Amino acid sequence: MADTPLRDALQDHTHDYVKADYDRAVFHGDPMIDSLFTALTAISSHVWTVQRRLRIVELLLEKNDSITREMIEQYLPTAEEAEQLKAERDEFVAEIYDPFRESGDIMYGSSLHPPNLSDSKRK
Amino acid sequence: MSNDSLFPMMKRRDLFTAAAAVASTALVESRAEAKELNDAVAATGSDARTMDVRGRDGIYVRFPRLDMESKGNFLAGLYVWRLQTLEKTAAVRIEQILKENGIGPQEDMPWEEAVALLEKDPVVAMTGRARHSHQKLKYAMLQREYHKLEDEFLAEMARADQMGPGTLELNPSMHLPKYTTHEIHSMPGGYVGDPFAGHMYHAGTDLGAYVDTNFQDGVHMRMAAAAVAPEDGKVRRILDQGTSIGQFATSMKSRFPDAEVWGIDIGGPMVRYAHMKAVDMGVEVNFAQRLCEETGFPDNHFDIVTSNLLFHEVTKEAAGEIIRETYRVLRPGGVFSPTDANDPLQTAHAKFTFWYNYRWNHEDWYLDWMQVDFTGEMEKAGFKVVELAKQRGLRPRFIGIKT
Repeated sequence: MADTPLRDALQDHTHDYVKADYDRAVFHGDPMIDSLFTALTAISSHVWTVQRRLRIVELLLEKNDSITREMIEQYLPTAEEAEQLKAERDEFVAEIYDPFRESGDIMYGSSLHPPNLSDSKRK
Repeated sequence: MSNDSLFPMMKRRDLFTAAAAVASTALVESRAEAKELNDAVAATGSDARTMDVRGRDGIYVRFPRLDMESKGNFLAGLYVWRLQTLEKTAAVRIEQILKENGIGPQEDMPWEEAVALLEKDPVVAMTGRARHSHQKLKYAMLQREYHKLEDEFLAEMARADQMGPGTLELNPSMHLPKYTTHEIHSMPGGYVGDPFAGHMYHAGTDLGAYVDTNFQDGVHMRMAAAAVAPEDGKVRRILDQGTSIGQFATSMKSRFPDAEVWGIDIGGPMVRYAHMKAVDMGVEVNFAQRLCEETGFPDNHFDIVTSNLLFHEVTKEAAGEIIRETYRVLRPGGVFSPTDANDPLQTAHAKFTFWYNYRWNHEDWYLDWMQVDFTGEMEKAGFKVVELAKQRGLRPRFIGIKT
């Protein structure tokens, strides 16, 4: 944290804490494999961030002749647009992550399909 | 740039927009200029939140940058995918493993055995990996983004500290028991170590545990609507223990508008955020940085004492002390209403999930919590325990009436 004059002037009311070891978590036996999943997630979040910005630009251009950076930053999607963006996000997430669910099918056969997954996920 | 040359010509809302342009984008060239604008906005009105540079969504102050909002949006989507897809697949795999080992799906076993049996399976391991990566990236993003504008966000809190309605009591030199200083939920700094603990908790719970139901306090409003009042109907004072960012306390004030409501928490940054949020909502609640084991309130003072998800975050010893302190500060006939994971499922799968929370989500006092005979401790303290009908959502399974 920056040591600025403002910060010096403000008490931030923090306290020493006991550091946890969450950075040492390994679930797949090899820290590199685990890190790859985290890296994939980081990249995916960046891609979605760009994609969502682009969709907002498109939405704004449908309503305005010209737009500014500030208009993009400030845009609050309508309820309908928010629903559409959410559906696009869920599709985006499923496309990236469903293969991890499907890996279970490769290892254990098709019996891992939970009965309450929608048909669209039973590819 | 001086206030004289610019600010009188602009409406207050315009100032927010100007602050947005300077403070919330990569266009920031001068932090001093951003601070000047922020201070100017702060001086013009009574709203507690000056960093609402991208406006509001209901009572929620939007993230200061679109990209921050979008990353959060992605992580919320990943959380839902894990719950709705991966966890269900893993549940089928767990059932298979248990069957292969001659264990029924509803059968109980010690958590150590459940972990040994399940943790190495690749499908089950992926649930842990997905949870962990989500939590890690979420908090890293939130911490990074709030600290990018830390001068402005600190100035906003410092200003709100002085505002009402409702009071704020901070005790920077108080002794914090060590157990309260752990990084619970793997949140950087826990509840005490980062000045934006309240900000991160609020955003973090909505992008995780309460996906999309937290920003408008919906969960807490429903909890308050279902809260049990004393039999005589008198509700003059309410205490919310371990209030964190005050959502339940402000919801109880909305349910009982004539009552004096207090929220206490060990985390200074948490009660500061709680106070700022309540002031911004115009809800009069008093927040104080105090220990639940030693609240400092008089005997027989409160009509209702609530706690939401507090007791699994304290040690076994502290749980007993808090129950006894609660009995002391409640008036005869007063209601103690603790909400927590009071009756977790006793199955191998549930025990494994429990272990994950304990080990890697750093619910460091979960094992203590499992050992607390909670209703027994309540009865020992003098409470009459009343079992409640099981309801969906976060609801107390039982309450205590002070005899």
